[in-house]
Amino acid sequence: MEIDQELLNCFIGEATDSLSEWERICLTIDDSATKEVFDSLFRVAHNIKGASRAVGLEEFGTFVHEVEDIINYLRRDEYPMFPGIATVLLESQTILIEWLEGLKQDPKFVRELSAIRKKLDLLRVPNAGQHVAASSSATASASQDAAAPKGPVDELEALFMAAQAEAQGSPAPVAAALAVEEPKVEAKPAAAAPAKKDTKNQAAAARNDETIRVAASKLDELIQLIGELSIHQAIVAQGRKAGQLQQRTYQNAIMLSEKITKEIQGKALGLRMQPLVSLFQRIERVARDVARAQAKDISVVVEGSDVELDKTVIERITDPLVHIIRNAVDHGVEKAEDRAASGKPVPATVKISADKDSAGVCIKISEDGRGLNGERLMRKATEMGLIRADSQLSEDEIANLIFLPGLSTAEKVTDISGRGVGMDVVARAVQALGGTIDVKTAVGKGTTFAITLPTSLSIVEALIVEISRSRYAVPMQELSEIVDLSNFSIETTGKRGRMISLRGNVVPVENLHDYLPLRTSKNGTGTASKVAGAKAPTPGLVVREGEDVVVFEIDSIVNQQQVVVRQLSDQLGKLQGFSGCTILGDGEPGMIVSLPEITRAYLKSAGTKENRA
Amino acid sequence: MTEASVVQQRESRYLVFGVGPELYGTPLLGVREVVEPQAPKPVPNTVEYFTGVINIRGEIVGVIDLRIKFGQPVKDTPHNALMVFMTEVGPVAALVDKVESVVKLSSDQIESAPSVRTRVPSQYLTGIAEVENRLITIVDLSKILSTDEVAVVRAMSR
Repeated sequence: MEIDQELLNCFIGEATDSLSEWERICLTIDDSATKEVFDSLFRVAHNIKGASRAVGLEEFGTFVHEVEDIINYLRRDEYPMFPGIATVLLESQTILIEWLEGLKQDPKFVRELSAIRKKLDLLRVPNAGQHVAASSSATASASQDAAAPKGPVDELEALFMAAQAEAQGSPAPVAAALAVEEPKVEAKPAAAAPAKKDTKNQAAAARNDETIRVAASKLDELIQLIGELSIHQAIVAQGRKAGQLQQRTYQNAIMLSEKITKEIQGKALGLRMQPLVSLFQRIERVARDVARAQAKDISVVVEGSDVELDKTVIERITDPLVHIIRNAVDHGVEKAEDRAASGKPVPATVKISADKDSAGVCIKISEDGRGLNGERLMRKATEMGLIRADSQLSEDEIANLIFLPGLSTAEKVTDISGRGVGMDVVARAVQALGGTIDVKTAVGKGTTFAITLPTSLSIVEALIVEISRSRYAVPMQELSEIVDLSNFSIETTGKRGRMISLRGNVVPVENLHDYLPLRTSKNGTGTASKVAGAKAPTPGLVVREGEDVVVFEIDSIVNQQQVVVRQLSDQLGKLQGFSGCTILGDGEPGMIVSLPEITRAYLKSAGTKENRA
Repeated sequence: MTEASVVQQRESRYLVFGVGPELYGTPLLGVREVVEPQAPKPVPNTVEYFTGVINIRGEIVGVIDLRIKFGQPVKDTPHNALMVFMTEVGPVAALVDKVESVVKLSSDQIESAPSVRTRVPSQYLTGIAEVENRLITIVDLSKILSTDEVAVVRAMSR
């Protein structure tokens, strides 16, 4: 049967949602395996099956059907529940997700199923647990089961354990095929660039068939507003034709259109906001998977999953969070017996939470495990020449060393984490989103990662500045303060250039113009205006990048306003020093300067200069 | 008639544009729109032929000056047209001296391996066609534009 691409995309979108529901239900099975739970899971599976067959994915439907059989037995209470069931159902979910991923690339894709089929076939024995006596007429396998009523279940459990161990060793073929980029990143620990490229590629791929689910009521509100807007628009048009725009009726209509436009803008941006629930579900799943694989006993607490974030932010933060939670369970949480020995509660608590405040959304992942080994971090960092041996660092500073490239505290590399890549990539991913990441740890008590993210990437409060007669936008969140450099005496030193004393701290002063040279400004037009108005204030933008502070001198500040951030095309995205683009009040495009990026470039060049000196 | 020759006879439409004294043609289907030229806003740390960004109905589009790119002398004559392409790397606009016409060319009218030396790197050159006694260099501009590197790496490290 020929598969219609549009229908298929629609199916993939729906099935992905359903599978996330599937996952959510499976995660509750361990706690409460009630009939209602299996009923809802059955409905989900049944829907997916129906939908897949409707678009002509026969093999997909057949596989879902097989899983559905098992759920059906469970909900009819035909065999006892045991922990392995949830695992098998979750595994099937993973396989279906991978299958959908495969279908995105190739509509004819069929997932390899032999391993999971083996497990499913063992489970797909009707009445396995109870009605064994009546099995004389059943198949050979069923009568075998009859000999040992408890047999199949025990056998299954053993099988799962073995299969689990096997699965750790060899990742699923699709996962491997899809993750071709990954090894490259791992090969070069300090490779931030390829990692960045990956996200770009993902973004490009996502742009093609990105769909978003929106509550119909939100859409109706928007349509309603647009209707109102067009009415006022018509009134204004009439007034213009009559040449009577100054009249009050028309003035009112103009004012109302302004108001409605603002409202539409707000509502439209709201469409991109999604609750964190599915993201949290996914990382909760990862935590449980890792814990299960390592036979660790954990309980996961999730808070604030109704907090909303921009869809793009959620997408780009998923992998970093998965990485953090893997590390947390793998390295942070101890085995149950170790915990018991040191008098800590079993199971260990892993907490995933989100909070909303004025700065944005703060996502925290914490566990009450062993804490980061500060000594080991220091030793590693010293060995790698990242810090000096005699550095005096505070406890928090030591913990934050983990975000430096190439540092991993795991003594031995496990296949879950510990290759020494990751935390620096995580930190970069967060920074790229305009967020911050911080870690707090106490030996023996646990570790908390806190990530603060902007709610939306679409609108930022920005300072419009002029540099060499060209206007740029600088996001306010990247500034720590603004100073008037004409109030300071600027000292010049041979080695590090110009500097000022800011509240007793010596801070270098750089001219932003040097970092944003324009070909047209070679004639010196850029600085000419400044010489003319020597008395005018010289604004300096103070930027903090970790412990370092740099002041960037600019020509003038134009104003402060909210700007709508537009992503740069891939071509321009490679430009250093810019995070995006916007349209300024006069309709001209304006580049959004990324001061953190420029600061890092400065610190790098300052560092090398110092070494040479 | 074999299938191959049928394919060869198929006609495609090309947009003919001028850069300096030379005439070029690019597949019409690759051109998203042709707009009135507007003064681009310069972007620091970019190559010389990247003249800046413009605002096309709220969309920010990079502009490439084809005169500089194709090595034509830069005179101070105003450009006449901006051709906007939707490339793999997003929208890109190309500044040209004029947009002339649309011509229909079948593939056998395009000399695919010309011995003529052109300013276009050979891998982007589709061929040369003769239309009304004038030679038109056929290129796939959206491909050329999508492979352009506009960033100058040295600038940030000073």
